[in-house]
Amino acid sequence: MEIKFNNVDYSYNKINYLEKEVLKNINIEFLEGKINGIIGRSGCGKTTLIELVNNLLTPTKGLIKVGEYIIDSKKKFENINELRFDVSMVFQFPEEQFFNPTVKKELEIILKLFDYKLDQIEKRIFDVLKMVGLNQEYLNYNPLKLSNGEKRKLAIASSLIINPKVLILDEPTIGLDSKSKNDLIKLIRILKNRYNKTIIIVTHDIDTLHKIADNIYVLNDKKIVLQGNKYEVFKNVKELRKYGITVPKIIEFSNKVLLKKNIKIGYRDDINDLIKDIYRYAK
Amino acid sequence: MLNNIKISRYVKKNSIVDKMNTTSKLISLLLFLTISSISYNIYIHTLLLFIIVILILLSKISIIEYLKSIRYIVYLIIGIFVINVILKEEIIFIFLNIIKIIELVLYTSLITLTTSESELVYGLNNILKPLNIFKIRTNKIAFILSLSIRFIPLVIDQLNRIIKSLSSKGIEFKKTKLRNKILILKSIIIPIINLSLKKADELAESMEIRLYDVNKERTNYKYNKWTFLDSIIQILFIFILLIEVII
Amino acid sequence: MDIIKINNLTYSYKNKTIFNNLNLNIKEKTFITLAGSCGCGKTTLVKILTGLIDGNFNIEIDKLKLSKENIKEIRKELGVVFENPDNSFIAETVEDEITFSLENIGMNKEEIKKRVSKISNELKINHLLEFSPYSLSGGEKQIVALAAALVSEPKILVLDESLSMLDGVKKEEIFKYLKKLNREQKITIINITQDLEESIYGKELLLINNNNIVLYEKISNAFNNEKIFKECNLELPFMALLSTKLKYYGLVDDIILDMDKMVNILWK
Repeated sequence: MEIKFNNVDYSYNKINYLEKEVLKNINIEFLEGKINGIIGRSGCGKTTLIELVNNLLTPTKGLIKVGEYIIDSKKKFENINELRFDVSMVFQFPEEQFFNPTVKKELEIILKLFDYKLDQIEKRIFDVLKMVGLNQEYLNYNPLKLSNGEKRKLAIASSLIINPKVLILDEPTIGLDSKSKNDLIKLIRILKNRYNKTIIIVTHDIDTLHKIADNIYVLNDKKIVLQGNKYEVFKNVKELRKYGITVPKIIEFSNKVLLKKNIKIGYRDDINDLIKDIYRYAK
Repeated sequence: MLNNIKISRYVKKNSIVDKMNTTSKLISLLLFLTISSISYNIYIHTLLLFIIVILILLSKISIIEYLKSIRYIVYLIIGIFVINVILKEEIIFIFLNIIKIIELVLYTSLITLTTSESELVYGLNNILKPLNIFKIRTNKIAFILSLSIRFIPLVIDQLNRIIKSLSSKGIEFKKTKLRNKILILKSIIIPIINLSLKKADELAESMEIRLYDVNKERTNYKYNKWTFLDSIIQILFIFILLIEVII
Repeated sequence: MDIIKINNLTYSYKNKTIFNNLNLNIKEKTFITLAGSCGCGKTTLVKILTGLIDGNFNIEIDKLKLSKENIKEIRKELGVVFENPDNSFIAETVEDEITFSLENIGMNKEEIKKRVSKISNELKINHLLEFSPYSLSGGEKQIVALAAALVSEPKILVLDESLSMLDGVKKEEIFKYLKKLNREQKITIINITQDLEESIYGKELLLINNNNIVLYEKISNAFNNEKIFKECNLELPFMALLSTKLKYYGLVDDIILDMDKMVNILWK
């Protein structure tokens, strides 16, 4: 499912009729079946960008192509619900959006609202819990009494239950401990590799993003200033600092070695690979 | 960024009216309403309308905002007109009644558009202070009022978050069947109340840690001092009131 | 001198033991990072220290015994910032939010004005003063909450996972500022966090696992035992992990936390 932005602008009017520009001239394409990361300073418009993908916001100028749907700033978009079957979003702090007394009811309600039959509902719930790695015994637990990591998994499950092709995650790792973060990383990889979903992640958790992202888009001052695969983007250590972003330490290290000692030890994901490189060059 | 729901109509313009002392504004409102309701003298009402126009101009707020308030009571005006015609009242009586309602709405708008919520509560607190003689804890009343003002937007915001979350899963709230709307609202009410209570708790703790004490006298950093315009308005209104009573 | 003395702290909540005979002393003027597996214990500790949880505790804060009589004095010395800034905003504008605690103690207007000016200059939030706190971005909200706590010039600053939404460069700036505050104004800083990269700005590290203190060391000594961190579900800071692994290969002798220093040692 291709997602393409063509010359997209977004602004909104504040109370005193002063227009506030948030995004200007965005021309990007998110890679299908891959993990796309959006980074940028706090408040620069990352959330606005993803809300344009599932039409919670409509662009003030330009066109957005999402699969077969075209969101045009000049026309009213008719197929909102169909779009959202294919593009599902998990918000920040999803634990604040649970409103049912049991995990089962929380997952059921969406399907019930779409008039799914009971046996289909049961099967879907079973499948989706398995997908996110939650045991079936969770069905009777109160969502608010789960741990933070479990709450996140439940929130993702409730977005996956309608089987979207694209999953958008807004700050998925915020407030999680190390183990929950690693679980989440595993889950996102499974969603991409086993279920071929396109993932879009907005985050400022650069270290986590470095472990899973394929492509990175950097937003600054209303525009996309850098994009490409993660190594291409992260090696611009100095430039990213101007945009308020610090690169993953593992990249920063290699970059420092290159700049100070003129030795190219390669940009890595895994610290063990980095150690091998250092061992090779440090003699 | 969250939808910033406001229940206050305050528009910050730093006009002379904005800077007037809030207690004085509220007292002037009381005086104004008294004059307006007891008087059937066309000259006095002309004078009152004249004062309103000057204050509106001084407030630097667009006339459209004021007209919006009138729009809400258009039906009331029509209703009164019709009733008065049926009761065969004199035309001038009908006319003055309508003018009174318009004056009421305009002056109240003047106050609410130029005074922030917390200022209003503080001014109200000051006006109610004499009631302390009767052992009514006025500062607690003011506190409860300001908390309610603080909380209504939060509860609405919580509701909006849930609806937004549902819509991004394909459930467009406005377009769902009534049966389903009820299902959603029914399930939402208790969690929203729960979450709001939880937030209230955390808010109270934060205030406690920062040494908030309802019973103690606090500095009010932003409070407007008594200005020249305040004195003029008060004297003017008292003068008009006296004329009305004497004549 | 120990500015916080916790003796034999035992506390349970809803049949779950949170503290079992905890003994902890925190030195004056330290900058200590507090980390641990379960989130619940740490925030409970903050609530006990600030008097939000009642009980008969044998705790001393700045030579005052923790009690109902002393709690007001104690709260004057403590600046606390909780994790979710949305739940602590009570004012219409950022400026009002910052002045709130000063208004409560009846400070005069001129002094309030000076303090607000000072803190908003230091934290670079002058341009945000007129906005509603709710309209800010996550990171900005956390900095405003920090300003509101620091404006009363407390002796002890407690941060409960309160800088989690700041992005990279901003976080560095704020931690450098806190380090300066600790060094120059001698403010004791307790930073509770999941992200051990933050601990490098501090002087000491305290790890709590299963209600017990498993590590309480100076930062330079804290990362020698990788196992303890694994048991707490915590990731070592990058430089500590790198040093540990390079030590294994004999390429370095010590835990080196400064990146420039490490590069120079590896390639002389």
